[in-house]
Amino acid sequence: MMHIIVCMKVTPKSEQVRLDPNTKTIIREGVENEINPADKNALEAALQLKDKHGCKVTVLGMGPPVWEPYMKLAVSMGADDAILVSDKAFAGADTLATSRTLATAIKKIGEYHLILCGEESSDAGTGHVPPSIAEFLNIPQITFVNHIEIIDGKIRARRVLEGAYEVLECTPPVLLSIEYGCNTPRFPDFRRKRWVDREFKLKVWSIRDLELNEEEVGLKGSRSIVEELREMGLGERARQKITGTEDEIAAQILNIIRPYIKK
Amino acid sequence: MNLEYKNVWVFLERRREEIIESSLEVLGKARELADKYGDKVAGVLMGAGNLDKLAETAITYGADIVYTIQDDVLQDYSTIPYSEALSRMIIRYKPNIILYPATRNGRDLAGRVSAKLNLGLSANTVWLDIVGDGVLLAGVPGFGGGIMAVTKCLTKPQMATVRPGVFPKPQPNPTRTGRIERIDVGKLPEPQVKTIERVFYTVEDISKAEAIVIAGMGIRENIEAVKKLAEKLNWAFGATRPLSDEGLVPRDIFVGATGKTVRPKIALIVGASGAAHFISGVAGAEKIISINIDPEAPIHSYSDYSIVGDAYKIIPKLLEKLEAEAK
Ligand SMILES: Cc1cc2nc3c(=O)[nH]c(=O)nc-3n(C[C@H](O)[C@H](O)[C@H](O)COP(=O)(O)OP(=O)(O)OC[C@H]3O[C@@H](n4cnc5c(N)ncnc54)[C@H](O)[C@@H]3O)c2cc1C
Ligand SMILES: Nc1ncnc2c1ncn2[C@@H]1O[C@H](COP(=O)(O)O)[C@@H](O)[C@H]1O
Repeated sequence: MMHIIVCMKVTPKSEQVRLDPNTKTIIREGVENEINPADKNALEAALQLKDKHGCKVTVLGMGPPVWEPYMKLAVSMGADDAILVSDKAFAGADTLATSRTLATAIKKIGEYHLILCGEESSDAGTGHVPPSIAEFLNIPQITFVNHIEIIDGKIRARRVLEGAYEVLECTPPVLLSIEYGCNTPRFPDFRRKRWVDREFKLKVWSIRDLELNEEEVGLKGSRSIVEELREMGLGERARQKITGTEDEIAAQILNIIRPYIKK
Repeated sequence: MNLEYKNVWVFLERRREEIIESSLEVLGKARELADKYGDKVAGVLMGAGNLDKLAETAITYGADIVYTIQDDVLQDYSTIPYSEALSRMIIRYKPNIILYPATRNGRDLAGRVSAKLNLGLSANTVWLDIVGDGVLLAGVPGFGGGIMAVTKCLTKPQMATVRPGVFPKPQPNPTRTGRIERIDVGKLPEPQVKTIERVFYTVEDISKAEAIVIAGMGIRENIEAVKKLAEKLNWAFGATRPLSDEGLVPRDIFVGATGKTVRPKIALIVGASGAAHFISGVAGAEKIISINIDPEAPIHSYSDYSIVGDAYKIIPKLLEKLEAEAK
């Protein structure tokens, strides 16, 4: 049976995130979290393979204890197991330190055939973690995938590029990053959720469980640092309201856009 | 200056027999950065055939040196041979900075090289600057683009992927001179991933449009009307990502953090909520007009002119009026 590991992150809802104008730090209070949207698609892709081929699905996250309910939510959706790699030493990790930590956790899990990631996280949005994990594990990667099939034990994936697509095939183990929006993630199963609430025990691994050095993880293990945060000011606009009947509105729009109409 | 690490490198991504536009944009930026602290720009070009012609093009766009690596396994982009070839080059020549276009291949490659050589990497940068004798500061957009983190790499070479469509493509100068160096990096590993099919297609590039109409999920049932409007106005037609995810519009016309960056004189946005990941792709528009039925939708505050109304009614009216005027 194939073992699929889904790397899953929890992110704040982007629209709710603001900078504190004085301290220039992110205001976390009152901001809701969610499973990183692309990772929900990765999980769904794994669960569809499980439905079809009977795979085992494990979700893996590196983050603070507040992620626990989201890891369990993934199990309620259909994952078989969940591991949260959590330690104060992991805080402040860049993509390199994050990938190293996740790759080490994956090695500790042991046998795997497929690793699925999201194409990118909605907060950092780098998309660099998946290829870095693959390199640390020394396995091939296929990034930006929107369709997966298992054919005769091989993985066949459709990779979407700018103005092009590729269909690629690979013998497991392989890491795939899954496109945001490529499927419709299922809701948690009600009965499963009850089981999770009552009996499921989330595995939590610390730096000692992974046998990593403090120098290799978190801020200390990072090779890039954030110097400062700046608000991008996406919204400084005139905000003039146009009102009236639909006919009047259309006439006013036409007046505004007329100078820009190309014959 | 730390002479051990020098030159600003650009990964020159190819699409068949051409260097892609976003690599040329990066080349322009690299030129600017190198000039600021007095260094050279080098392009890295990989492929199976003779690359001299492309290398010459890169020189006209600002490269002083172009390293070409020719090998059959480098015919088309593939992670394992490309990342191995580039890593060997980096170890041999020790560049100060390496910039990659933040295309899908560029990110696939940069992330792999970063782990291979244990190097810091700034992602999807939209702003770059040099301080001191060659320290790179990189602006990384976060949360869809609402916030920018200014980052710095602690290792050399300093690496960054650069978001397409953000920096202008430079004017080519046919009289610029530079040198082409053919490099032998030794035997490269096989891809380990087999290509079954590779399909290229061309779509109109909306990123250069002077005027654009953009459809969102709020007009999902009548995208045709928005398209027709774009046609009548002779404007480009774009969309939000969910319309493309649902297969209702082509992939290469969605605007936003993971799609196209547009900077038109005017954008008419129809039935889009104004999510951060979308807005960051149109924030460079001079004027924005939006139509959204929900008075609370965030798009209204990102607009110069905003209309709270039903797009299914307004767009046909607009078309009617345009047709009447055309007569
Ligand atoms: C990692 C990541 C990357 C992303 N990248 C992008 C990206 O590059 N580009 C992008 O667009 N999105 C991107 N998104 C998605 C983004 O977060 C939003 O989900 C998306 O932009 C919403 O699209 P929308 O506004 O068309 O749809 P919705 O949010 O569903 O909004 C539809 C709007 O239409 C309005 N409406 C409904 N009926 C009518 C009517 N009759 N007349 C007028 N208005 C009406 C509604 O009030 C609503 O505001 C990304 C998300 C993630 C997580
Ligand atoms: N802390 C983390 N824990 C688990 N998975 C992660 C973490 N960070 C990144 N990933 C995975 O890597 C993908 C890309 O993230 P990023 O490179 O940060 O954009 C995500 O969609 C996840 O699948």
